[in-house]
Parts: sequence; C-alpha cells; structure tokens
Amino acid sequence: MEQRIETPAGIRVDQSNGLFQVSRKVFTDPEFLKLEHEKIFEKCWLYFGHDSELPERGSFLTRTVAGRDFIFSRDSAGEVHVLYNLCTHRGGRVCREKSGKASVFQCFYHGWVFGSDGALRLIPQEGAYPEGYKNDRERGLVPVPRLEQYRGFWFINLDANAISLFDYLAGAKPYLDNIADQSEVGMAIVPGAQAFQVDANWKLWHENGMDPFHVNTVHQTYFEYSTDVAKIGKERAQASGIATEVFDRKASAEEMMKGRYAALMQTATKMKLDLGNGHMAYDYPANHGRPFAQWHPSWDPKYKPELDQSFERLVARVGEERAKRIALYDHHVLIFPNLAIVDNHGIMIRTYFSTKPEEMLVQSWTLAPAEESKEIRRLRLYSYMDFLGPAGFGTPDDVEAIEAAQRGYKGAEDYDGWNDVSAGMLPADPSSFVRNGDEGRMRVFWSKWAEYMHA
Amino acid sequence: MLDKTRKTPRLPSTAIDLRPYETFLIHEARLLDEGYFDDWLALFTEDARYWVPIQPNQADPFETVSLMYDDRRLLETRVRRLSDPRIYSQEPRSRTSRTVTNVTVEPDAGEPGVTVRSKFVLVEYRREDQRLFAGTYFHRLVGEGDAMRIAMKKVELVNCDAPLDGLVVPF
Repeated sequence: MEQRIETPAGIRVDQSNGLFQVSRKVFTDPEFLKLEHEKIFEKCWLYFGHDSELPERGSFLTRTVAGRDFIFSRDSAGEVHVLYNLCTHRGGRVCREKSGKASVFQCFYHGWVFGSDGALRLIPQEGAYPEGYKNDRERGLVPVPRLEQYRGFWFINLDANAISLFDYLAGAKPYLDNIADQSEVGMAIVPGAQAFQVDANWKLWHENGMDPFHVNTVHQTYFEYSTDVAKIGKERAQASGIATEVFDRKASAEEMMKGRYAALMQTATKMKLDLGNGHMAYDYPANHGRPFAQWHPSWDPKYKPELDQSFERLVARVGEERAKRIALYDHHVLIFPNLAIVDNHGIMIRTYFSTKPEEMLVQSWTLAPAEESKEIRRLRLYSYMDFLGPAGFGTPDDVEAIEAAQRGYKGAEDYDGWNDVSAGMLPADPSSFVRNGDEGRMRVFWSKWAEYMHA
Repeated sequence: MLDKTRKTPRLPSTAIDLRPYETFLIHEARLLDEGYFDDWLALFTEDARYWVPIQPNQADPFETVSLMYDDRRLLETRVRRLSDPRIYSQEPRSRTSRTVTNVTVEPDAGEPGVTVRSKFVLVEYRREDQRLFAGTYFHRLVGEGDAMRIAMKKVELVNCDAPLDGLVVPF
C-alpha cells in the first residue's frame, strides 16, 4: 500500500505498478456530488443547445441544464440569450411552454412582461413604483453569466471569470468542425429530443461512452444483427451490379486495425486521445453505412447515388483527405464534463446530469444536414433509432449495465471499494491497444475530474 | 393549448360488430404478456410498420425522431433480441399485464383494412420496480386469407415525451 502515490481522494494512481483506481464513493456519496456541482458544473463550459433550435427571430425553448431552468431565445434583433426562467418580481416561472415563437414572455403570476432579450417591458401596476423603475437592467430576466458558441454549438458557463469557450474546447474543435462541415447550409437538430431517467450516477454514462471493452460483450446481439443485415445486403448489392469487395476489405479485421492505428496516429497526442482540458476523442474506420456520405451494402442500393454524390461534393468543398476523415470514419468526442457527441449511425448529442448521486437525467438529440433529401433523412432516422434510441438495440443494454453497477456500489464503503481503470497503464503487450483499445481515455476524464475537485 | 380546429369525435356506430377486433387485440396482448414473441411477430404483414411516437400528436415518423419506428426487418430484430439469452436488459425478464379496452373503429381514411382504436394499460414489473404505461393503440388490420393481420400498429403513450428508462418490451 505504501507504494501507492495518493492523488487527491477519489482516484489513486500507482504508475510504477500500472494501477489506476476510482473510489466507488464518487458514485454514491452526496458529498462528492455536492462538490462536483460546485467545482465542476459551476466552473466548466456546459453544452446548452444548437443554433438551429432557434430558427427564427422570436424562437424560444425552455431547457434544464445543470439543474437550472433556462429560456433559450433569439430576440427580435437575432441575438441569442440564455435567461434564468424566473420572474425578477416574485419568482414565478416566466415561460411555461416547451418551445415556440413569441415576442414577449409574460409571467402568469402577476403579469410582468419581458422581451425576448430579457428586458422588463411592462409592469401592470407601474404607478406603484418610482419613475423609470422597470428600465433598470436589474429588473430584466437574469442572463446566464457566460454564453458563447462554436460552429453552432451553444455553451453556457456559470462562472463569469471562465476562460473563453474557444480556449476551453482546445483540441475538441476540429471534431466539432468535422460535424459542422457535413452541411453546406448548416446542420440542424431533428425534432424529437429524447430523455432518459437512469438510476445511475452521471459519470457512469460518460465512462460508458469512452469504454472500448463493453462493446463486444454488452452489444453482442446488436452486432449479430448487423452482421446478418450486411450479409443479406451484400447479396442484394451484387444482384444490382454493385461491387462489394471494397466493403469486405474495409470490414476485415486487418484493415480495421490498420485504419484504427492510422486514426490514432493522426490525433495530436497519439495513443492518449487526449484533446486537452479533459476532452477526448477516438475515431475508427466505419464498417457500416454512414448517413452522411458513406453508403454500405447493408443499405438499399437506391441510396447509393445520393450518398456518393454527397461525398464528391464534400471532396470539392474540403479536399479529399478531410472528406475521407469526415465521411469514412466514426467519431466519438467527449467534452468535459458531460457532453458526448457520437457520429456513427447518425449524429447523437447527449448530456447527463445528476441531482442525486444514484440518478441522472440524460438528454439526447440528433443532428443532420439541413439540406439532406427526405429519403436520406428517413434512412438516417432508422439508422439512428436502431442503436441509439431509448428503445434501440444498444442503449437499453448499456442502461442495464450501468444501473447494475450503481446498485452494486451500495455497501462498497464497507470494504473500501475501488473501480479499476488500469488497462493500458503499463501494458505487457503494447500492440493490444491497437487491437482492443484500452482505458486511457477514461483516465483522461478522471485525471481532469480530480484536478477540478481538488482545485 | 387545445387545438381549436380539431373535430369532435362522432358517436361510434353500433352497426359494426366489434367482437372480432376485440378478440384479436386481446389475443395479441396475451401473446405479448406471456412472451410468445415469434407468434406476435407472425400477426404482422410483411410490409407492416410498428410506430411509437415521441411527441404528442406527432404527425410524421420521418421528420421527427420516434421512440420506435420499425419496419418488418427491425421488428424481426426486436423479437429476435427478445428471445436471445444475452439481452441483458431482459435478465431478469419483465413480467407484464396488458389491458385493452374502449375498442372503436376509426372512420375510413381510404387505406386498406380497418383501423381499430383502443385504450391500453400496461403494467411492467422488473427488478423490484413497477412501471405503468397507458395510451391509445391504433391497429390497421387487414385480411390475409382467413386471418386478420396487423399492417400498422401505432402506440400513443400518454407520457411519450417524458424521460423514460430503457424500453425493451414492445407495447
């Protein structure tokens, strides 16, 4: 035990013995959650919403982020605001609709009226107040301390002194570029946000999103299904005169490994996949169809011409090398602390937040090129819901796995229980990384987490 | 806000014999409750659709994400997964009880078959947790030989846009 170098409570690291552990208390102890709220969620940039969700002047929606209720609105001048959804008079809920279009918000409690920019416009009993009372900026709806966007992704920060979003995103920006550049006119959120109530701590889902080892065990039934679909599709493709060897080659284990290795070598930190500031990403060549610009035999050949054409247009726009990177690879990027963007069977944007240690609210959206045809949109939604929806063939088994872990942590304090995140710390066979990945990206998260918690 | 343009429902005709439809829906519910998923799948036509919208009054499965929108291939996969011992989200299995009631026939919309509207309550018990689902079923039923088959099943959950835990057992 004395060999262990004690990093701040919650994680412990022993580099020389290749050990990295996370205390199970961080998933169960309300004190940890309280500290996380204060030291992480009140300090970091948090994903709020996408620019396309406010398509017009006067568009608004209400959303809960970091446990706070906000209004997201585009005012009559086109400026975007995030305002606390709380009347400055006596705290009534000002906007009670999920989304819509409005030039003003009227609090239903006592009738104060605010503009879509948050400024107080009208007090019904104005004569009861001093002259000009309502014009004081302090009477207006309270704006979130910081609001900034990168390529249409709006983030908030509860800390007025935070560094800029641009600097905060660090090496994650090229990944957001690769998503934003999938459209010539702008990416747009597809209507129909999904929400999950999961009986597990928020960090367990974030971990699951970076965990390479669970895929083949938890999602076996999904992969069997996709293998079958690909087999049937190959026969169908060949029957319509499409050569499929190129796809066989892409899907071969050897090619996958080469591709994965090449992808890893292209990341700034090589094997560590560390994008800075606790963000991480991984890419690999896709062996399935991608609704943006990669057809695959598992899909009907009728979709091929449009997808091939999108790819050609992309090449013309961003060059062949980047086009391949965008269209032929799956991308996962996790932005500290609680945003996951997965670009594989569709694009999923997901956030998670716990108000109790053993529960989380997960919010999930899908993003698509605004200009894609109805046919491809249809294909995209099938592809997305297949795996990623609450009733998809992937997500429920993930939920089962993390809920089971959370239940298991009960009583872990009795035996001082620790989770093991050591894979890849000191590998006896370094090539196993390329074959199977390791838990390095989880350590990127945990190391940053510990840094914030003990700041 | 209520949609003021919507039409008041008409009193259903008493001339239609609902018994064959009720019997069919009760049978379907029993197959699901008792885990005869392959037999449940066999109730659907080859070009069937199974749709669970995510928004109240969602008009379209293609412009909006849904909770489920299955063609026959996806429905087969759903059923295949349900019978697989490695569907971890069904280990242990859910026990369910479905009640189907308030059966009426919808006005003819020019599509093949008959659209039957009903109300359901589904109680799901699993892992010391009981969940309650309720809503409206729309079954478009068509004749195939002597048998009745489902060409379309739409499930409108009253809490379709609520945060839901994983959904594995079909409604």
